[in-house]
Amino acid sequence: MELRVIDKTDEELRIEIGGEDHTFMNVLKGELLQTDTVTAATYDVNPEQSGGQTDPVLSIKTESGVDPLDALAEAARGVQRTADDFTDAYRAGIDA
Amino acid sequence: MSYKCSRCKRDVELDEFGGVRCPYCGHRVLLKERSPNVKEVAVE
Amino acid sequence: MVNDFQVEFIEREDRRARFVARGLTPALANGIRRAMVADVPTFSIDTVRFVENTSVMFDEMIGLRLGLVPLTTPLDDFEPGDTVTVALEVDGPATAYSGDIESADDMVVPADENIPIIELKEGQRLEFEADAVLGYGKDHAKNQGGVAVGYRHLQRVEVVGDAGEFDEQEPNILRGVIEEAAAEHAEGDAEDGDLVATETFGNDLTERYPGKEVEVHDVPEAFVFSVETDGSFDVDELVTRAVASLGDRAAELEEKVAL
Repeated sequence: MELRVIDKTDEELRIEIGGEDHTFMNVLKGELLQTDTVTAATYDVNPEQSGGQTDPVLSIKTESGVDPLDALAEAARGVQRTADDFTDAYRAGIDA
Repeated sequence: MSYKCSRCKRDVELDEFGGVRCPYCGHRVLLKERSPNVKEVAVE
Repeated sequence: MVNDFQVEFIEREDRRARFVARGLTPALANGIRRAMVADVPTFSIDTVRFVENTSVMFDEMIGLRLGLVPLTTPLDDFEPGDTVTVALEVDGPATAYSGDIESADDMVVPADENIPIIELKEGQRLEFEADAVLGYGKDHAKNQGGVAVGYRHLQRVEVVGDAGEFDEQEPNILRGVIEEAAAEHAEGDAEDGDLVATETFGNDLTERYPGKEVEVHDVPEAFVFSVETDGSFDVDELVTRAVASLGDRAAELEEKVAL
């Protein structure tokens, strides 16, 4: 996973996440959209006129005063929690 | 080049002068044997 | 965000399972499905060194068949890219089976012993040594551990009235799993909230609710997963590894964002 920031302002971020595909990006986007301080989040694996770019580009917009990088880090933690919680629920389902 | 005669099953060495013919039985059908080397194949 | 996941099994065997998972977003359900197919590595034969092949098939064709033989994969003991050497030696007349493959490591062996590789006639012989490599399903289908993985929505069937008395009732086919919501109208023992596989009533709602008008709705945030592995590991391993792979990637992202 290689990260490359393309654009960054106080409330907006465009970042390339090398080596990932829909599997992870869609889960991450879903997590971002459930964060209150994030007003918009999307990703594109093959942006138009990208000259053959295939690594996904994630775009995030946040409310003022919230650094989009912090929002991204929080979403990453959220996905980890989600994964752990699902594993616990699955194990509980086995024991039930 | 090593071949095998399809009629008498003997190993045949061909050179550039003898033409395609088994020197033992005169048969003109010779089979190329698989190389004894180990062949490595990648599964794709 | 607080997660409230719930998992309930409908069937659970070593290699196949069906379970209802609640509290998931569609994004997460699809992420788990995709991870099961592409991101849980399995061992698979990758390079074959043919010492002798006098069978009727080319080396490459036999190589392809060998690649598709599932090998047991204890993921705790190996890293992706690790190699295990296997070998086979069969003289005709006989059929070479996956079970004839000898492995250098007892933990990595063919998951099934009865997969035919090729039938050998009198005088034919197959001998090779091969490297099995732990690789990912996204790189080659032979490395897919999950072979029939999918999900559909859990559905709730509600009885909304009686069917017209003199109407011929058409079959009302529904496949998947339903959540019982009209137990009083169902045939046999039933309780509201039961999870019922549609096979149990011939996938036909008119069999379960005869003479009734029914409506079918998707239950939000509930997914019926159907998971089958190729025998490399059991279903529990596949699911937990797939979910863990999502978590690992999130951890890596968090770490790199912090820099």
